[in-house]
Amino acid sequence: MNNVANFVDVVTAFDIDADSKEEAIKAVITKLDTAGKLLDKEKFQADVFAREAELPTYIGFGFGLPHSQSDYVKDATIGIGKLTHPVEWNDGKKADFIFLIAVPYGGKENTHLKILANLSRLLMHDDFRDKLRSTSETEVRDLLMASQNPHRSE
Amino acid sequence: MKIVGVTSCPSGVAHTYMAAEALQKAGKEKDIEVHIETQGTSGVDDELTSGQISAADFVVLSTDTSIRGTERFKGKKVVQLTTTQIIEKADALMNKLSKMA
Repeated sequence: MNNVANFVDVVTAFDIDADSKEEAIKAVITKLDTAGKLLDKEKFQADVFAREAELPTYIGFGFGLPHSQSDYVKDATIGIGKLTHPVEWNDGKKADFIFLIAVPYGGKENTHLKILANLSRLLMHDDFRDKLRSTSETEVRDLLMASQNPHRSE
Repeated sequence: MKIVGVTSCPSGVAHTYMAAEALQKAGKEKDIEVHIETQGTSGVDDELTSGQISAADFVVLSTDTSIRGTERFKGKKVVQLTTTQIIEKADALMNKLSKMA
């Protein structure tokens, strides 16, 4: 398994004080933009919300996982947002943790997609989620970088 | 009991794999043999073998996007759910299928 750090950047936005899912997602996207990971913030945002409208991305356990493979992403990035209070995601379900995955379109290299797939698998495990919730903003990046998928079927 | 399945989702980046992991994790906890093929943006992983399919008691397919190669499951008992349902209710699904097997 390749080192996550070679392929995916991590941007954090802890202590998001938002009153809606849209506001919370925008706060994470703003961080990505500030970090220089996007080519066009407004258009990327539109892509994320279009995906969200197609099928909302609440995944249980208080986690929302908005994501988009978009023309307006510069570098594959994971945006981690922690909210000061939960917001309704969809169908009455509330999220207080956001895991936003931004992946550029095209490119022959799909290693970052595989890594993101593995990170998605990791989120299904309670011990990983517990660690994610209890880790400080400065250390969460290291946690992700150090994590590998616990069990694949092969 | 043995279960095979295929998961896929519109962007093929996240839910495909979360649903697969949820099924595998639930199966592991209940000592059920589970094989899940993922059809994502980065391609097909863990492609099911004909042996795995013929030995399976049930086939679980996600419904978010069309699954390629469904003709492989002709004559099998197929359960169809969204990836979100699979992620949230993999444990309950395994329990239910155990009772039906």
